[in-house]
Amino acid sequence: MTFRTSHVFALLAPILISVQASLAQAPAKPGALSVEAGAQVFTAHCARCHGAKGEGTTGPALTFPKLQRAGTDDLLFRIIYFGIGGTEMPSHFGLTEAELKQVALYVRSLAAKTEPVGPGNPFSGDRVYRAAGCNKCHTMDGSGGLMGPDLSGVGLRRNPAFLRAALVEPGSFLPDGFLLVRAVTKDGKAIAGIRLSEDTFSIRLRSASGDLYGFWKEDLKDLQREPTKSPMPSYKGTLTDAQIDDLGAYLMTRKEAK
Amino acid sequence: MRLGRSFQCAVPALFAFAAACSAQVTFERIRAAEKEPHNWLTYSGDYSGRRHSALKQIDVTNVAKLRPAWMFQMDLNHKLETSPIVVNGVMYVSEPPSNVTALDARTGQPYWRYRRNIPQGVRACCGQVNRGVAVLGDRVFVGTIDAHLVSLDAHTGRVRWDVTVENFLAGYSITAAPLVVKDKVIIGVSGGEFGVIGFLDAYDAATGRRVWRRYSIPGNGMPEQKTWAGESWGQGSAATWMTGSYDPVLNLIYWGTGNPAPNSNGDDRAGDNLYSDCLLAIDADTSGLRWHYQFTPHDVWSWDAAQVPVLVDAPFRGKPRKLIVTPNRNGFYYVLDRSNGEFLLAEPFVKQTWAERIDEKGRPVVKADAIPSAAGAKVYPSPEGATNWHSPAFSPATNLLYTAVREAGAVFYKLPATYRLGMLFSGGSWHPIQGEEARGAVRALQLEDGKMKWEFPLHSPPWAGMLSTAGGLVFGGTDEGHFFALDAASGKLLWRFLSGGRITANPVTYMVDGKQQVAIASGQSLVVFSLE
Repeated sequence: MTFRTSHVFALLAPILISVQASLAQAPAKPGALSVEAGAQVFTAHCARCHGAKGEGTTGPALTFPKLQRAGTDDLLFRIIYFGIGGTEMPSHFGLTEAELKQVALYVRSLAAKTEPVGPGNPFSGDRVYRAAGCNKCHTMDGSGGLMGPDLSGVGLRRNPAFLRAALVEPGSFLPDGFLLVRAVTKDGKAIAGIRLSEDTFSIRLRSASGDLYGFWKEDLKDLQREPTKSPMPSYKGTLTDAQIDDLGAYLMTRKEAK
Repeated sequence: MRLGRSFQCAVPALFAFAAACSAQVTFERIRAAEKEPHNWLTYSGDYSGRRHSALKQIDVTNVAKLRPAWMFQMDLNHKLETSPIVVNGVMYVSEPPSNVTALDARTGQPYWRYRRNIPQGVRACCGQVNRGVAVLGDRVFVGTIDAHLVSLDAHTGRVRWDVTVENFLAGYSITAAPLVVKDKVIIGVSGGEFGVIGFLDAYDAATGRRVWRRYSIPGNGMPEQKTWAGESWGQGSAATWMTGSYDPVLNLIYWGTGNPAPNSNGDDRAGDNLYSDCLLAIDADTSGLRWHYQFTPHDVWSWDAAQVPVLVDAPFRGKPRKLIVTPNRNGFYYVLDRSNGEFLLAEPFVKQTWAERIDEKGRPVVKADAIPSAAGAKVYPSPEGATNWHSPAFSPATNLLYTAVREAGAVFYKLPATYRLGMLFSGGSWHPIQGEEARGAVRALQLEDGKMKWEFPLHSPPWAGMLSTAGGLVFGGTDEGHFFALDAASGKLLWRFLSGGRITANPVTYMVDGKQQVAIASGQSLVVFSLE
């Protein structure tokens, strides 16, 4: 199937200008180019990873005036249609041209809705980052721990509300397939870690110290799964509200992946 | 057929059937395929769709010694869903998108290869796959992704005839293996995601002339067309994208049909949408529709009924019946009388949340909150179904039906849908349920009541079919690449092998040089096993 993104862009360009005018239009009809129609497509195809309002869940937030990988509308179309290789962003060859236009319009409308600058002092947040030991589990610009996600350039992907929620309730933003497991061998040795891969007969995990373990399931006495648990502790109570804001403000300044 | 010097007619030493060494694969041989289990003559092994072999050299006592004998690497990077045909030591295997290779099953090396140039712009919802070939006489038949049916010379791989079944630009393609019945080649079409009009075709095997076409959507003037609001039947799909079964005594072809289009939005197609999601019983000579049974009337979940139905003669509630049984994508196992289509039983074999029950006439009582919506409706099973095109198997020894099941739900979304020729026509989307890991299993269902006798849990929902053998074994595969054998009576794991590639195909078994082999496609390879 061929698809000409530049052609769609040519169609879309004049309409992008009238985003505000479209906001008040009636519920979506097939092919109707409105933010509402785009919101429906977004709910069905995108919200699972990008959040109901594009605030980001397992996938990045889209509430930025300028999106990191989709600086132009042409790039936005390409990313939605073809996906991003090497990431969890899939292709959407099933979208019609009209749906593609609608959803792109909706994504662009998100930028206006959210204030990407949160409260807090980024300079204090830098100190909180180190004092709270974030770097023991997270890598920032090439140094740090391996257990958690790499936070280089996190300010390009996340918004302050998301970061606050992740610090207070880390288990609510686990990526698909993320699982903490605890394996107990027949001789009683217990290994806890993140599941790296699993099949019917065997499982592999990485412990907090970074060691790799592989087991035949038949050699295990017990295998416990903790599907909603994050290895990251909640910082509610450990850090003050102001410190959490500061930390969030600091992370939002990390807008360059070195 | 004469197929090179290596074919020495050695097999009758083990199986004293003159037919086994005959030069031609005849309709009579396919009809009696269970009498020559060293061959695998048709898609499901025989016409009954049981995917069961009478071979027992490999059995529960020695299967632990099963080892790879050879591998055949395919040269195009597409998903493999192929199921080979084997005739007297020659294996005919289709390779995606629409190629065929004849292999020496003894050594794994090719006799010939047929390579087809695929035009730009073919439509395929789910990969340019091919599930196998059919054989008759000295011909090999393959359906192509650009919706042609091709007859190849079994000695050379040269094209004998090549006919256009339909226009691929309108969304038609062929992914299923053809079924030879008498002197005809029966072929169905894919395209259910593109708003095609489904049909089943019969072609004269010798000439390629079309003998009949049976549409799976009622034509103008037929009262059943009223099961589609307005003109919605005109892009209603009901594709015939898998291979059916055949009862030579009743002379009926049993063929499943796919989803109505658009898949997830039924607003513009009010009504039952016949003959989508149906089993059709079609007279092999006249194409007359003897009966139909619809599993999911007015489907909005994409639960095609295309999978291979299984024909079994067995008592049902004390009375001998000609049964047809099928675990359906909608989560229910069905038993029908195949002579007249009478509904006998529906029993869930996975978690399902869309139907209150199936009533005494075989019609589901659908829950209102299971209908896809703009906000999303959480329903089990997922659109990929409780099972899918991968074959079940039935063993007459255990009287159990083995099916590779998918335990997964989904959130179904409805979106507006506009039909445009050759474009995807889905009317919605879906995603897995957050925080839930989908699972799989091999389940052994009791033929008569559909109750589970045993299960063997799988980490992921499988796309690999089943094979049962008289050696008391059931073979299956996993998404992570394991090929395995279970005890057919108990479900106990007896052997496994990590092939290193995802398995999305059906296994077959046959015998060459006195050794039983088991073949399965995995990753980009065909892997063949025998006892060490």
